[in-house]
Amino acid sequence: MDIWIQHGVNALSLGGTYALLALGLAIVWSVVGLVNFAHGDLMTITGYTLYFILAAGLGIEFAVLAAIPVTILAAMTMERVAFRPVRNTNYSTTLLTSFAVSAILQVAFQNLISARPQTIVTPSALTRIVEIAGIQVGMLQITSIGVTIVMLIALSLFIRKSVYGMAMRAAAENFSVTRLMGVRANSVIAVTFALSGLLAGVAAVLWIAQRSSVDPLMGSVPVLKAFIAVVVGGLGRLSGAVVGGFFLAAVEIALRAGLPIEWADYRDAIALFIVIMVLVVRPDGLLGAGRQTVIR
Amino acid sequence: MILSVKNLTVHYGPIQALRGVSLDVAQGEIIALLGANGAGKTSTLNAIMGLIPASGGEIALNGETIGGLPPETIVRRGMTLTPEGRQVFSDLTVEENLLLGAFSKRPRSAFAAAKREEVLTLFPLLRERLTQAAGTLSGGEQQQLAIARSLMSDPAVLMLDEPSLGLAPQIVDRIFELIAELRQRGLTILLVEQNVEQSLEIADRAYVLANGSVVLSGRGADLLQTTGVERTYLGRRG
Repeated sequence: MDIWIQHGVNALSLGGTYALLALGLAIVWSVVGLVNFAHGDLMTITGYTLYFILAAGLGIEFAVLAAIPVTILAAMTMERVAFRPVRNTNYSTTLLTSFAVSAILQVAFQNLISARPQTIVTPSALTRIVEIAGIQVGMLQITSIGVTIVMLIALSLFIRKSVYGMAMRAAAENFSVTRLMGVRANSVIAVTFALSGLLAGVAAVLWIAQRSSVDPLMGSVPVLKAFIAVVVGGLGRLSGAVVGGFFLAAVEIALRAGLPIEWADYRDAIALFIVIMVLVVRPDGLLGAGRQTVIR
Repeated sequence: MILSVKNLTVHYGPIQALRGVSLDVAQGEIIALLGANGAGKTSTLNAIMGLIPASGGEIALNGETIGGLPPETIVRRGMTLTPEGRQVFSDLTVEENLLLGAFSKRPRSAFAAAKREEVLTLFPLLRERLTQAAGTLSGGEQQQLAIARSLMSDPAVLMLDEPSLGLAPQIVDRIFELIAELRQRGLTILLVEQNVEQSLEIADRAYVLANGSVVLSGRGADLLQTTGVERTYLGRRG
């Protein structure tokens, strides 16, 4: 019994991180119509910022508080430098641009920093095991679930209540009419990328706390997972990204826990097979909006 | 002239949609822009508004050139467009649609609150629908919302792209009454329509477009009496 609750906590914790990442991808997709495969490399930027600040002898709290704004800035710079020049081209051009940005960043990390992983020590306060109602769970998992909840509530309030959130919802539906309202295209896109950077930064801190290291390719696996989460949840719907993130994590944790050890090599294959089955039954994803893009 | 367009050309790839359109709109006028499907009416409005790039020509608002400016800047200069097919934000509430209309105004919320009251007096029907998603409104209600949303930016010049399209006859009458009422409130209106008779009745002057050029222009009442205008240029059997 206890072990299943622990698996549940792990699934929620991992799912939360996937959900935050997937949301970052989904927001940019909804407003700009771009699948940003360099989103994972924003996580790597968070990681190296943490690493260098810690190496300079500053505390972890300061490192986290500085790394997230750096990631936001990196996301906005990415848009300004790479995506704005190709904004009015087409879907494949922007997609290829995002692959190019990702490749350039990964090579830059390898050559300018190191191809080998760098250690970022997770604070001992987070590696403790605590007992809640007689059940042992990791402090890190609890923290990560808490952070995810706070982020989801804050993001939802921003999108539903703030005037920029409103402009983003409008832009997701009809970008040119949103400009007719006097909403500057550059501003609404900058805000969108800033939000995606915030989400990537927070997800990165949670991800790195789990693995205690950063390497040049750190972002590639999570961005793929996030992309799968977005698609399985329903492209063009933010709640779909969240549901998809938790769904993917639940499948992965269930397979890790329930699959015989000799099947371990097939874990990802089975997880992806389940994802494909979902898409066969529901081609628009779990909460699919069809072809319409809507921020909800 | 509050709005003056000279020799406007627009290309979609190799296809030329506008072949040098010139038109003038004076303060307080209603100008009708008529023509058959594909004559270039919507392209003219979209190019004036900066939604599509013009390949040539000059556009001036209040004597200042606005050619090449993005729509969000032109809105700030006092001109806006209610696009064809209404295009309200269907997932947003009526209230949110209106609020976005005042996005460029400062102080935003105070301005929006005051303007909203003014606009709701003109469109009392919308008041009952404020919290509803705009997508749930009927076609006529959506058209009223689309116009109301444009008015939220307090424009001096309002361009309307086929506001009567797809609406029931009584609602069309109501929309034309509203346009006349807006002019009485001091608004200058450039109206694109396929509904020739009703447009010519309220318009001071009209331009008729065919194949991307102005083929006829004059006072609304005169054009109304010119026999064959509809048959010749508007693609209708008279």
